Amino acid sequence: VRITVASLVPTAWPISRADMAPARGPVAKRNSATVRSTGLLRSPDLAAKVADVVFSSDPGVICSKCYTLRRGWNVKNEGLLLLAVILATAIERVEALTIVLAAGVTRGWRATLAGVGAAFVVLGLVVATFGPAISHLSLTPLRLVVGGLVLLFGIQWTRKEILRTSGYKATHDEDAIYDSTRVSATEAPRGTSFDRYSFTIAFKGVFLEGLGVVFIVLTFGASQHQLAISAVFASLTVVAVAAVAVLIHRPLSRVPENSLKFIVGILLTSFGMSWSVKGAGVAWPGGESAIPVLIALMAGTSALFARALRRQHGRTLAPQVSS
Amino acid sequence: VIQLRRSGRFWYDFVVGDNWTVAPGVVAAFAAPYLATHHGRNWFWLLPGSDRPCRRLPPSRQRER
Repeated sequence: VRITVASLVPTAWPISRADMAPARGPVAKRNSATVRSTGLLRSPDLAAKVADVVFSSDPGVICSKCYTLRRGWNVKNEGLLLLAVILATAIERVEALTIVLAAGVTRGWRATLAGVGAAFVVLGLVVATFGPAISHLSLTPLRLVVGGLVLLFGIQWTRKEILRTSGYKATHDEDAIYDSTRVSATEAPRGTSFDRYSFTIAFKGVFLEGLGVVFIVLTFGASQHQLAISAVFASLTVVAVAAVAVLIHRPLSRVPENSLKFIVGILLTSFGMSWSVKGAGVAWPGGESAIPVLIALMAGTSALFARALRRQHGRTLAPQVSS
Repeated sequence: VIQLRRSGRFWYDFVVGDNWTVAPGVVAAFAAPYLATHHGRNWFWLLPGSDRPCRRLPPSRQRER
């Protein structure tokens, strides 16, 4: 693979003699050839681009427009990534759906659906604006920043679910949220022609819950150069959740939201960790194969923490109110 | 001013979340392997190792909303 990459690189980027300085940098046991070859290049950005292909088992394809190496379809990791996108989208849509249903059933559908439409337009604009911009950023700083944010996001999700599982935080109850939203919607004053309350509550619900999905789609898509696929799968999930809601016409309280959030949190933490460490210039042993190992590690330690906290909770505190 | 404060609060909650101690923990966990790499060490294990305390915070320090 190294020979193939070396033969490709001069056609994509002009490399001066200074770039081909004697090998420097860290040498990992299992990836010695890879790390040495990236150490040959003085420019860290260039080294990251070359390393991206060397780490991948699939043949690299050079994108002439942005001079970024696009990797082939890595079924195992890309599949996990899409799973995270689909699950996160489903969770957030179920939460938004409860608010929309409560507003629509109580106050009418015209303004509510207008609010939903407006929120989707704004979310679409956010993806259309930031998606291409992020895709053109250099891969190394992108992975560092995006990986850091995804990691932060993932740790927060996992931590909340550990607290919920252990009883320190009340579990998310869609039926209770539906009832409380209906009460608020009934008590709110009504306008003359266009119901601004329904519009606002539907817009806020869909937009705020959707912002998390947009963040995940953008970051996952940009970091793996699969933005279009991430966006398509997220959109299909939204349509699927909406179709189920239309069919049953009540909140999707049977969806195991808390368990799904646990899974998404672990996936986000593992991908965030992998990207950010790569962005910091560190080489994972086994390259891309480290991600499933990280997922197993995160799942195992999270289960242990939840178990330990559950025991502790049994001895001390009472459950608290969910956010 | 109120709108700005609300907006700031929203983005703080979105990025940092309900427990601010996690964010500096993550930043510190990045800084260590980054510095180690620039000194010729491949300390990939440092971030998975330091992630655990971030998730295993004592419940008495959780700020619920």
